[in-house]
Order: sequence, then structure tokens, then C-alpha cells
Amino acid sequence: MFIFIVLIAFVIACGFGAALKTRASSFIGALGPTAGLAALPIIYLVLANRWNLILEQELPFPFGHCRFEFGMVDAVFMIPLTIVGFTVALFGFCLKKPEHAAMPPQFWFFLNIMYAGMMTMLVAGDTALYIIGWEVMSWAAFFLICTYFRRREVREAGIVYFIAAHITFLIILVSAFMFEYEVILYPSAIFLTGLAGFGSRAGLAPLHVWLPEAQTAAPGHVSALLTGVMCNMGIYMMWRLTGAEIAMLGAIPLWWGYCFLGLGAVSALYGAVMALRQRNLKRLLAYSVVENTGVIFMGIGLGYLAEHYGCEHLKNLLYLGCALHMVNHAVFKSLLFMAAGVIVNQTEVSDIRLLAGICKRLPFTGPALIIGCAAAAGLPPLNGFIGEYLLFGGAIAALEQSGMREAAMLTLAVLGVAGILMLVCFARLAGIAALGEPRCKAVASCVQSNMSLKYPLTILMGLCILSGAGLPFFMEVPGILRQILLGLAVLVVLAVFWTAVRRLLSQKNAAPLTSEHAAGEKTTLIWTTVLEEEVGKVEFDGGERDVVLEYAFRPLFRALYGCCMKMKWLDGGGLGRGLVYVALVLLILLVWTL
Amino acid sequence: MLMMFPLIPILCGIVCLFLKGAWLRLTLVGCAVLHLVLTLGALFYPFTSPCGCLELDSPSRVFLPALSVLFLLVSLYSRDYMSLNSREAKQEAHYSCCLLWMFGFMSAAVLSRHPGVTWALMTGAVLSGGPLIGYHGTPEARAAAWKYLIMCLSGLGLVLAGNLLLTVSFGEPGSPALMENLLKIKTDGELKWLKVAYLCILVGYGTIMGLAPMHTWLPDACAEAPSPVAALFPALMNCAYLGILRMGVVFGAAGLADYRQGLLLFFGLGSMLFAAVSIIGQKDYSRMLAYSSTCGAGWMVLGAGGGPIGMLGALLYMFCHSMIKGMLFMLCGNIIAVYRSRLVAKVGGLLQVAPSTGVLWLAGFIALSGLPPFGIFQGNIRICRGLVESGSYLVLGGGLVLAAAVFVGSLLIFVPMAFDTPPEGMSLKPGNPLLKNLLGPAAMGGVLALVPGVYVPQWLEQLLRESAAFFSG
Repeated sequence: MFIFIVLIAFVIACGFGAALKTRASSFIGALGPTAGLAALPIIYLVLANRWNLILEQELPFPFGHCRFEFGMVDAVFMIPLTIVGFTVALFGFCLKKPEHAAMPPQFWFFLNIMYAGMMTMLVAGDTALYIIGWEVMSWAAFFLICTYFRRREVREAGIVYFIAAHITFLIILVSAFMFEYEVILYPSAIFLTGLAGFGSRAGLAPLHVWLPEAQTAAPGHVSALLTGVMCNMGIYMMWRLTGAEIAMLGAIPLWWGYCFLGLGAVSALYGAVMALRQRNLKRLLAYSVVENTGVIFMGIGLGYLAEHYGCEHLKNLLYLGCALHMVNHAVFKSLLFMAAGVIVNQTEVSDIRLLAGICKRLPFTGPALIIGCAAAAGLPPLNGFIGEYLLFGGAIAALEQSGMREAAMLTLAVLGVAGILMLVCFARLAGIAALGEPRCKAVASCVQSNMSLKYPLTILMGLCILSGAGLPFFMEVPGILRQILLGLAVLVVLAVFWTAVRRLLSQKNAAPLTSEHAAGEKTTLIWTTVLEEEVGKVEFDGGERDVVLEYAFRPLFRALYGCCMKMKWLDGGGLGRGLVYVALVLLILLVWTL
Repeated sequence: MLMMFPLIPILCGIVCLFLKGAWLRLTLVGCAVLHLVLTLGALFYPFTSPCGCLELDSPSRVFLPALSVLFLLVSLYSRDYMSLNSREAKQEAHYSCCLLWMFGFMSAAVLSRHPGVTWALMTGAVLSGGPLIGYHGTPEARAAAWKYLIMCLSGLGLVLAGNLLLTVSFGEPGSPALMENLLKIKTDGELKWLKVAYLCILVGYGTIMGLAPMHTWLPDACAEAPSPVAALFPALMNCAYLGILRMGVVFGAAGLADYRQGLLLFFGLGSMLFAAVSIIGQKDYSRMLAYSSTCGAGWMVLGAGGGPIGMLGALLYMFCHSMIKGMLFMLCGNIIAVYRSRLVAKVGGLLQVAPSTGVLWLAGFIALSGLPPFGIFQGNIRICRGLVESGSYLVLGGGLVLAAAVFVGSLLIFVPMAFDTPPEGMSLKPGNPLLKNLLGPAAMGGVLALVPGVYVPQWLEQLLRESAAFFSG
């Protein structure tokens, strides 16, 4: 346990060291998350031996009595933190070229602070520490999102994020107080406030509004950190609050499970549909985060139902699927976001229709994008497959349970539809962006100026492949052999579908490209201009903007702002009005008193 | 020995009238250092005074350092500020004198244990503040100064009325109306007049503290006063707050605890409401800071209505808030010196134009919004806990909603000021080197606001707990 506290202190120290703006600041800054890898053996020990480390410590005043706890669940959620945190730091460290994209010292400061905040949260065992860790993570993330603050859209996205983050923080605070003071007359109130607060962070629709904005605006590796770790922190807190065995709230009413299931389904479908509509590379990835969060929440919800109906085995299967999917999603989505970051840095293009031929121009980045896409589409043997497979298996098994049939059918339907939509979406992405010949000048003329970026990408690619193909050998999932056969069948179908879609798309792409070759450079130019014109026209097409943000939250906040502006007459005025206020308040209170 | 606390600044103030230039500024700093040394001594040694009206109890041990430290920062800042914005030597001498007098009266008011004496000392402090606000001599500055004087003095008039009601009707004839005597007030008497007395005192001191709706002088004063003076206002606020708390003990002992709590919660929420409405869409950043002081006063008063834990939080909040607000007002001075404008719309790209100022400005925002690890966070959390424990759930809910509104409003001011592109024609070269010196005291304020959020030594914790227990009766 002490090693974590030492690690946290070390990471904070690295943050301050990096903030000193020396030449070594990127090295010092990267040291913190690298040291975080030291947690991996402990994670392994905890998971292998089913330990639950507890430390009660008396700290100086503002903290008081602190309880640290590190159990299996914390260990599972620590895996993405260490791995993704390390690769993000490595990516930032390697990102020296192009110069305009290099990371400034404050990036390292906030990266380390955020890392320390998240680690604090994972080892925390009482609400006070959770709150501190959560909020440090939140505000540090704001500054990370605003790394390129000189761009207008980045600032706006940052502001959207910070407003969402702070409002949800206050909701979480309410939840924490209700929990702490055992106003547990209404555990459901705690659950609902927690769901609003943590669900928003995890990217659960319709409270996901900050996510597409922030992920699009942030540099690629920061998006990776936000997705791979911060979103998972939302899931983690939700799990701590309600999850089996470690539940802080005790037994779970049935409708909480339905709540998870319903919101998860909405997110999964919404995320998948919105992802298909996107043209901006990072925005597409952001919506796919929403989809994956939805899938995980559906799994948890179904798990609750299984627990309620007493199917221990099914519950374990589903929770295992959720945990695996969470970790794997963190890995492959980080890979995708980092690849997207490289692409955007090198070409300054983020419209996927203009990106083509990445594989030819950017070695390592192109394959990384393809592998990431394949994993995200849930194709075996990559790691995106395994978690979804277990969830499918669990849902199919749940069909046979009385009382869970409808829920299981819903889950299966949504998982299937969302899975296919994501498959199409990522096939489109890989087909259009990664394959083919360059289609616009920016891509055609770009060269990978920074080969060292291949290291973080390779690590993640390796993990995608290993943890996908390797995991089944290490894991025993008893009693689901029949589902394996079923899964294989599904696999074949999916594989056929995948090839078909890919061929279709590559044919589509091939048409202009061949003519391009035939007609020479002139056609390229025309094609480019046509595309660019088209892009210019549809820049503010509905697909670019989030429906919930534009039609619910923005009008709501505008209306509130309008109210405040209308009440501005209260403010100002001369001396006379000030005295009248004093007299009035005195008079009213006197009347009330007497 | 206790008499030294007010006497040193007041005598130094008189000496200042005959000095000019560097000596003048040195006297200011020297006096502040001397005062701080004495204050540190007072934390550990039981100083006494021949005059029975001054006493060093645990609340004054908490409030005195906050005042003394803030004044030291202000005097350090004022040294360079005055060489930047120098007017005639004579006026600067008057300014220094008034500043020191205000400081002297405030430190005596912190120590006073006689309501009447406190009132007189507060009047002295308020009166010496008038010329300070009008220092720039523009018509707006004069108007703000008069507004401040008239409103605060009428507030003090109410305090006087409250004191009279209290001491004449309920004090025992022949005994001085010291706090410990007042605590023996019989509760079987007529509570109605006591209630009126408390109301008058609360509204009166609330005016000086900047509680809404009596706060209307505060934005004008903060906008027009020179930055060091605006940075010292949180200290005046704290003194008025201490007055409210001390009198609250008396009335709590007389059986008015529920009435007191109701009024405190009312004014707390009201202040936050006014602050939220005014901060959202505010065009002038120094006024925004003033309204955020009103919000802070609201939090402090809410804490006072929230039992011992809330009170403890309010004391933490009080210290950190005055440090951070001092820092932000000092930074305001820098920003005005660089941009020559108080409008948010005219200020952009602080991080590019004046990077250190921009960084501190953002840090101030984080601290002011009550985000960890800054001390205000710990204060806020305890205030909320106090409210939960005293069962004021709805008040807490309202407070959090308003806090969210204040956060959004100030976010939309702070962040664009730091991040936006600089206005055209703004030189990105490093400006006047004196501006760099101004950053020192401001940064120190920031650090002092950070420390209590991370570490509080045990003796200080003990002190805070004692005073919290004392105030919540």
C-alpha cells in the first residue's frame, strides 16, 4: 500500500519538476507515469491472490483520518491507468516534431497531476479522498484539453468540458454527502445522483455532451488519456457505488439494473449512429467511446439482473466481460486516438474523406490505425472481440433465465445492431483513411517527420493483438463451450461481412483513384478542390454537432444566461438604491421577526 | 503589549505624513514586518494589555495572522505599485497614513472584546478607508468613496443601535459590557428586543462585510480603488465577519441560536444569489472579483450557520479566501497596468502577453472556485458538511446550485482572459520590469492559500477548533 503513496508523491514531484521549464522538463515529466509501471506487479499480485490491501492512516489536519483500500476492482481499473498513462507519456516525450505540436512544460505538469489524482482515487477508501482525487483529475484534464489553447475551438471545447465537469462534481458531492451521513433512507437518490455525475464522465448518453467536444479538441494522446483512463474512472466509481461484493450501497434494487441497461442501450445506439455520421476523425472515435461505454453499462446492468435472480455464474461471466471490455477498450481506443493524433499533426487534415493513403505516407501510423479499427470493430483475434464476445455469451445464456429473457433479448439486439454499426463505421474509417492513394495535397506531401512515435504505437498494437489472441489461453471460462461454438459461427458471419464491406468500400475508393492515375496530376488537383469545396460547404452539417448538446443543453444554458442578464438591473444603481436595499431588507426582516 | 498591535501602525502612519519616496514605502513594509513578528509572538505567548478592552483569545489568534499576513503582502505590493502609479508625494504620504491607520484600527478591532469599542474601532477603520478608495481622484473614484463611506457608516449606525439596545436593556448596571458579562444575559427576558438588536448588528456588519443586498458599495469600491487597497478589503470583510461572529455568541447564549442560524442562512444564500446573477455576464473583471467576494461572504456566513464543523470550514475559508482574493486584486493591478482597461472584452491572451500573471490568474481561478488541493476546497467541504449535520439540506442544495452558477460565470471570464488571442497592437515583449516585482507578493498569497489545503500544523488545528467551538456556542 505504501508503494502507491510513494508513487503518488513521486508523480506529483515529477509534475512540479517538469513545470520548472528546464530542458529536461519533458524527461522529468515522462518519468512520473513511467514510474507508475511499478504498480503492475502489485496489480498482478492482488489479482492473483485476491488480496484486499487496507491502510488506515492519520494524516495532518485538512485530511484527518484517511482510509486507503486497494482490492481486485481497483487493481483491474489500475491496469489501464498504468498502461495508457505510460504510453501517453512516452508519446508526449517522443512528440518533438513537428515543432508546433511539441508538448510544453505545463502539459507535463498537468499530466502528472492528473495521473496522481487518478491514482489517489483508485487507492482511496473513503469519500473525502475520492472527491479530492476526482476533482484534481477533472481540473487537470481541463488544462490538458486546452494544450493548444490558441485555437478558438479548443478553448470552447475546454469550457464546455469544464462546465460539465464542475456541475457533475457538485452532483457527486451531493451524492457523497448523502452517502456519508447515511441519509440512506433513499439509497436510490444516491444512486441517481451518482449515475448523473459518474455516468456523465464515463460518457453515458445523454450526459456525454462534453465528450465529443473535448476529445476532438484535445491533442491525440490527451484524448487517449481521457478515453482510456478518465472515462473509465466514471465506470469505476459507479461500480464502487453499486457493484457486487464491494458495493458501498448494499443490495441493489432491480430497477437500478434496468436503469443501467436502458441508459447503456441508449448510449450504445446513439454513439454508434452518431459515429457513423461523423467526418472528423477524432469525433468519430469520440462517439465510438460513447458506444463502448453503453455496451459496458449494459453488461453491468444485465449482471445486476443476474445477481438479483441468483445466477452467480452468469453474473461472473458478465462482469468479467465488462472488465475485459473496459481494459481492452482503453487499449485500442488509445491506439486509435494516438494514431489520429499523429495523422492530424502531420497532415493538418482531420476530415476522413480527405485522408486516404495514410498507410503509404505514414508508416506505422497507417497499420496502427487499421489494427485499432479492426479491434474497435470487434474482430477476432484482436482484443476488442473478447469482451464483447463474453457479453454476447452472457446475454445468450441469460435468455434461458426466467425473468431475464426480455432484458437479454434487448441486450442482444442492441449489442448486435451497435456492433454491426461500429463494424461498418470502422471498416469505413480503415477503408477510406488508411488504404488507397493520397487524395489531397496535404496527405500526399506529408512525411512522417518523427519516427520515434512508433514506440508507443507499437506497444499498444502489441497489446491489442496479445491480449486479444492470448487471453483465451490464460483464462478459464468454464461452462461456456457451447457458446464458443456459437461465437465461432457469429465470427464467420462477421468476417464475411467485414470482407464484403471492405471490398465494397475499397472499390468505391478505387474509382476516383484510378482515374486520377490515368489523367495525371491535373485530375488530382480538380478532385482535391472539389472535395475541399464540398468540405467547406458542409462544415456545419448536423453530423458535426452533438444533438443533445445543441438542442438541449445549449438552449438551456442560453435561457439561464438570459434570465441572469434580465436580472442585471439588480446590480448597479447609485448610492440611493444601495441605501434603499439596506432599509428594505431591514424592514422586511423586522416585520418577520416581530 | 497588546496595545502595540494598533499603536505601531497608527504611530507609523503619523510618521508617514512627514516622509516621502522610498522612505515612505520602507516604513510601510517595516511596520508590516514588525506587526507580523509581534503576531507570530502572540500566537505562542499570552500577551496581555492594561486596557481591559483588548484580549487575546483563540478567535483573535486566528483572525490576527490573516490580517497581518495580508497586510504584509499588500505593503510589499504597494511599494512597487506606488512607484508605478506615483502621484504627488503628499498624496502618497496621505495614502500610506490612511492605509496604516486602517490596518491599526482593524488589528485593534480583532482584539477587542467590548462591543462598543469594536464599533468605534470599526468606524475608525471604515473612515480611514474612504480616502484610500478615492486615491486616484477621478470623479468615479470619489463617487465610489462617498458611496462606501455613507453605506458603511449607516451600517455602523445600525450596529450602534443594536449595541445600545443590547447593553442598555440587558446589561447589568454597573458592570462593563464585556463579552463575558454579556454572556450572562438572562434568557427569561423579552426576546423580541434582543432579536431586533441582533438583526441590526447583523445588517450593520453585513454591510461592511459585503453581504447582499447591502453589498452595493463593494463593486464600485473595488473597481475604483488602487489595487493594494482593493486587496486589503478582504481583511476589512474579515473584521466585520468577526464582529458578526462575536455578537452571535452573545445572542446564541441568550437563547437565540435558531433565530441566528436562520438569519445567517438567509443572508448566506441571498449573497450567493446576488453574486451569481451579477457575475454571469459581468463585463468588468474587478467588479467580478468584488461580486465573488460577496459570494465568499455568503459561504462564510453559511458556515457560521452550520454548527462547529461548518464554523471550522468557514474559518479555513476565511483565511484562504482573503489570501487568494488579495492575490487576485493585486493581479488586477498588473493587468490594468498592461492593458489599460478593466473590461474583460479588452483583455485577452494574458498567457502570451504576461505569462506569469496569466498563470497566477488561472491558479487564482482554480483556488477561488474551491477546487482541491487549495484551502478553499477544504473550507467549502467542511461548510457543506456542517450544513448537512445541522439538517439544512435545502440550503445546501441551493448553495451548490448557486456555486455552480458562480463557477460558470467566473469561468467564462477568467479563462478567455488568459487563453484568448491578445488584442491587436498588443506588444508581446516583456513589459516594465517593475511588473515582475509586483508578482512576488501576489504569488505568495497564492501559496498561502494552497498550504492550508494540504497541511495544517497541529497547534493551528487546535486553535481553529477552539475558535470554531467558541463561535458556535
